[in-house]
Amino acid sequence: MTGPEARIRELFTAAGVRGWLHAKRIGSSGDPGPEVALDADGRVVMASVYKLPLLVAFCRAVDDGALDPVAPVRLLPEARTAGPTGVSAMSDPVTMSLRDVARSMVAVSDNAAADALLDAVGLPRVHDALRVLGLRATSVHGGTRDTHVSLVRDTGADTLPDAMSRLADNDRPVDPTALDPLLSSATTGRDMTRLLEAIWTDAAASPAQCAYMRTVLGQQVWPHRLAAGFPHPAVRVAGKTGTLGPLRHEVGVVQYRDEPAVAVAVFTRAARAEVHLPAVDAVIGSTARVAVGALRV
Amino acid sequence: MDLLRYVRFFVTIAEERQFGFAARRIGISQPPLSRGLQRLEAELGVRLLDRGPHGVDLTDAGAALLPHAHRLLQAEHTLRQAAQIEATGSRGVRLGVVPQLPIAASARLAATAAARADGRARGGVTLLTAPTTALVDAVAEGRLDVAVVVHPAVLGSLVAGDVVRLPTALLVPHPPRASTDPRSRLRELVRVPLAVPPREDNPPAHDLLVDTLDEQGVTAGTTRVADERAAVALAATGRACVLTADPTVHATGVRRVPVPGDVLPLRLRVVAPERAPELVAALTAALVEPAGPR
Repeated sequence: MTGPEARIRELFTAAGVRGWLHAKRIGSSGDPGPEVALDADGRVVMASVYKLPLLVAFCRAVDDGALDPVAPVRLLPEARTAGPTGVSAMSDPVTMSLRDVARSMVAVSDNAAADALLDAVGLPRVHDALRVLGLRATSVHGGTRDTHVSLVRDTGADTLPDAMSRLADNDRPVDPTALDPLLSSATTGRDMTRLLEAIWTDAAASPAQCAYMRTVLGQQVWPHRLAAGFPHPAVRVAGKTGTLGPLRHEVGVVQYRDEPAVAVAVFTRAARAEVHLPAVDAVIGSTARVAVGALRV
Repeated sequence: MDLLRYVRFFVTIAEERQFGFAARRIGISQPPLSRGLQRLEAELGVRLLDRGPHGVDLTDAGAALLPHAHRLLQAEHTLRQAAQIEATGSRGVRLGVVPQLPIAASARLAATAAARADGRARGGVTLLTAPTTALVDAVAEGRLDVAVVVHPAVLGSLVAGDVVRLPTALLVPHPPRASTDPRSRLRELVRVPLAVPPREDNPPAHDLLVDTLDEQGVTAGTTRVADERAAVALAATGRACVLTADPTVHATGVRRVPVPGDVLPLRLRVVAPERAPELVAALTAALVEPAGPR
């Protein structure tokens, strides 16, 4: 292996992770076009990256007239999925439109919003979107709520915080089904760049809904992963992160001024169990920078 | 007759439906292929194939016997694989360990591996000492059968046993001042840099050590050394502290003290390719020091 792939492999090793990466220029007129691929067909547990196909399924349901994007949704504290951000982190009932529920799901990876949206959209519509868009290596089995239930069960914990602290123990590595790509929602780098390309070329849904998705993905707040690789004003980054135990991911689109956009998917699995590993977050940006750099024209 | 060879002819022709293609795949010319099939048909007493103008068709008998032929070739494959494993085994078990592994533990591991090797004991055990990243690569590429590495490490698709924590001790250059605050004891002990292996030996384990030192309030930093011998030499001359899991490592001019709270254990893990779960379990058990003197 030579070129950008060799450099990317070195960066993953130095960060203490196993890594998967795929990057391609968007809209290379039909042919496969140039790409950077490192285990790009290896299946990886998606974690919150599943919210991206859910977003697409939601937008297609709006196109079909099945869902009204401005319909109000009431999210009650006792019925909400736990999480550190968005409505998940709040104390009181919240009412917002479906499209803002989807926005909170993407912008801050709001777990409560994601499960509320999944309840509205339904898993069959997600499967339908995956099939229509040709994402054969991607499977979505459920939402964040389902992942939490299986984590508590598989780690022998009593509560979700207890399960999460067992995931973070360097002395007793656990192997729950939630981290098994055969048993949990999983995808590949190649499938995710394909999905991003469909969103950026108005092929994933109607042009209006694709524009909404690009806006929402551009509103994503985390600066420590993909965006950390592109810290200057000549470039825009839109993306969706995923985090679960040792898994840290981001898939997104990097757009340099006056250049073709590049779709990039970076998935990592850390050797260390700690919740906070800044070097791993940063390697998502640095490897993406190498990959995108190799594809600039 | 060479039954297996002719069965392979039959299966290949049945798959290719053309004598020409089948002959090319096997790497012979058509006449010996045709003769081989005739011999097989004579030996079994049934016609297996109909030779038509557009190629070859299975007869009813041929269709009925084809699955049996497949099973025979599969059994041959299994036999050859098993023979290859035995042939490898006669070289002995190829075991890799990290340099931090205490010498007594190396001996226990080698003895355990040899005892479990059954027919292979003749070949004994070969031991390679190398850093974690090199050992993981060697196991993944089949150059080692099993290895003991420092945890946490990036393991790719290897299987790993439970994490074994070996307690560690510090070799410190001069007697530390007596301290009454138990939380500050490690910081009180480590007043010169801690000698550590190069980060590239295993980046995640290195980073975990450095982060734990920070958590414990140790601000003396680390200094990179090639091996434990070099580390002890630095300690003996007052320039570094040594962290060791080996009870036999000592030197004059240094004081050996257990790490307070056992917060810097040597975490070890046995790794192997997917096919050796029992060896992994046995070696993991051997890593733990037997209780009491024997």
